[in-house]
Amino acid sequence: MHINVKLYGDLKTHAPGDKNQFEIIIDPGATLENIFRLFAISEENCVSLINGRRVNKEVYFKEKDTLVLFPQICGG
Amino acid sequence: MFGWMGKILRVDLTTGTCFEDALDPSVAKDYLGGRGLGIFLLNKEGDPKGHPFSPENPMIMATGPLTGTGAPTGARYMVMTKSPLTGAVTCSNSGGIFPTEFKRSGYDAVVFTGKSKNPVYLWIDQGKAKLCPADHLWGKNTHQTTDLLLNETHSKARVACIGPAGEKQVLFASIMNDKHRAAGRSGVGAVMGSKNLKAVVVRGKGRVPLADPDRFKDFNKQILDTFKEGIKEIPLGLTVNGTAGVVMATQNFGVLPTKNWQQGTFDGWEKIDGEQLTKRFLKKNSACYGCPIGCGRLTKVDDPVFNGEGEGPEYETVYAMGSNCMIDNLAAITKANYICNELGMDTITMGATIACAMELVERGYLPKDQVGRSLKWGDAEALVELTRMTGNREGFGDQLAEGSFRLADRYGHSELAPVSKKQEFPGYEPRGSQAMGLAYATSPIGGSHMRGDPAYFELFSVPESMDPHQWQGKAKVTKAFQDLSAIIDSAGLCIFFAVRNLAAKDLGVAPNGILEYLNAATGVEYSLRELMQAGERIINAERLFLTKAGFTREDDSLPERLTQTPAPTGPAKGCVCHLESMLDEYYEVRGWTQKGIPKEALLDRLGLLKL
Repeated sequence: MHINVKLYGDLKTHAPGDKNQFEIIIDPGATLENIFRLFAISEENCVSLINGRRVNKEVYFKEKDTLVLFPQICGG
Repeated sequence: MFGWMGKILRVDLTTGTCFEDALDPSVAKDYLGGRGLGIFLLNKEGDPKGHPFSPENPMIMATGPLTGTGAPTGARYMVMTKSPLTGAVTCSNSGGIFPTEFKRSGYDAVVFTGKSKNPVYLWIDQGKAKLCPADHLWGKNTHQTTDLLLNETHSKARVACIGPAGEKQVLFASIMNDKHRAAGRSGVGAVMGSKNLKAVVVRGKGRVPLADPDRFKDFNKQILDTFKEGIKEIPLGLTVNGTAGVVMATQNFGVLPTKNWQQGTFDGWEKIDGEQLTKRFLKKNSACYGCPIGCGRLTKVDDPVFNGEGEGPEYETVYAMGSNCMIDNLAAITKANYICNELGMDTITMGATIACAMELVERGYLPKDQVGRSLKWGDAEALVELTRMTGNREGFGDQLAEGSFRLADRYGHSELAPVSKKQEFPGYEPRGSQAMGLAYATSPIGGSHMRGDPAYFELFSVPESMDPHQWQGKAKVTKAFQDLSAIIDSAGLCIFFAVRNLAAKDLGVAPNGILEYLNAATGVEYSLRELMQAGERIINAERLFLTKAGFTREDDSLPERLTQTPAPTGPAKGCVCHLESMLDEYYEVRGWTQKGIPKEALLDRLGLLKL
């Protein structure tokens, strides 16, 4: 299964190459928690969005989902 | 009294006299200070139906009991008056050093009434107040005015002043303090200008008396340690990238207002995000008095066209002048921000009004010869030039100086103005953040993120997660956040006090932390219930003023663009804001009639029947 991943803020340093936006191939049964482990990202204080909706770490993916991860921020 | 200085300074600008009044301890207890004290005085002494520029409209500057105490973020003051932009109340809030210096000069608040025949400024030197001629300052920008006043009063004094925009009564003129901090919204600077009052200069070396200094000190150490630890542990963003770092979040949630609120995503967002600001223009962070966060940005732009130096931009400025105008040139946005600070104008209304003008031109409603230049989406040069022209009311700037509602209405299309109660919205799109729509519509000052900001729940999951696209159950959350904001604004704290502490859920610091600070500072020994009730009292006192001024449910509104037209892009695609359903629920939760009028039983419970 193909998903798009976008990493922002400090999390960019966890990208596998020099691009913060990339496509990966995952097992159909993979959860967000598996992705955290794959990129060595701590789920704490991290905002996780799939197709723009906040999700928890138990969630599964669909083909061509877009996963966005960025550090917890507040304010405005 | 402890926490409070116990004195209100009264300045009659018509007669040129200053005198002192005692602060009634029971009013202080019930309304805290700042915004609460301001609305109490405005209800007692102002005319809700009066003209904002009439000499009788009082203008109140008020600190809170925690201002200047050393409590983190306890650096704020509030400007309250009847707004020329909305006809409702203002709650214009600012930090920096001026509010602390003002309070330490011996006063909780100053109430200006009347109108001076010639330009004047108020000089308070350690409790001694006098009015001085300001003819030589009229026409000067806020930076020049500040420098000249420091030269002629005291080099360590602090200045709050208006620029040319306030003098010319631009309807969204701000009052700038410490050069870069703004009591920005709703045109408080225009009211100040209408009174021929150019500036307030203060020097105060007194201490804020504390009821139990040891208790205050112990608690303060505990909270400050938590703040510092938290900033190290959690990449809060505010310290690292300032508020402009929020662009990344709002874009990815699909709530970054773009193209005059037509959509919630902007392709050029990465060029205007806080990360770019930090990388390209940040010189250093700046902090208000006693603030461990330091979200302010001292910036310098080396650009052949848009060079300059100053403070900003904040997130709201980046949205209003950036994505909302389809401008991805951060140098131009920063430059327009500097111009707003120097001429003394609100960046949100300025940017939103220019975006509205861009759409009016595109649709052929606003003739190009009126504008006097081309005005297309994404035109960075137009943004900067029109901002300067607005502050001076030059050419087409004279029309922009009236804000987006009056501009769009003049050309027969008020539905294109992104406003509630004629005040422009801050940068969170209600189609993808339902409760924000309710907060905008019911805010006493019109479109605002500072009088209740449920986006913290909906987008940032602080303190708990809620679905931003669902409208059910949002009334209760919005009311709770509005009441909390009233407490924060009245205590003299910044909204970021709550954010920091709400983020650390286990502490349960807000409002408990505010309660402990207030009790240690004032000795009043509020219960949590009494404190929450004070927040509710303040909101209802504001609503009473609005009701007397003729506001009803019809004014608790959003443009049809947000309630009827589905969002065309991003994660909120297909959503509209369900305002009317939320309003039904909200009035019920508030104890108001379905027309939005507070019921007598509620007013009785809050002690507001005689107000």
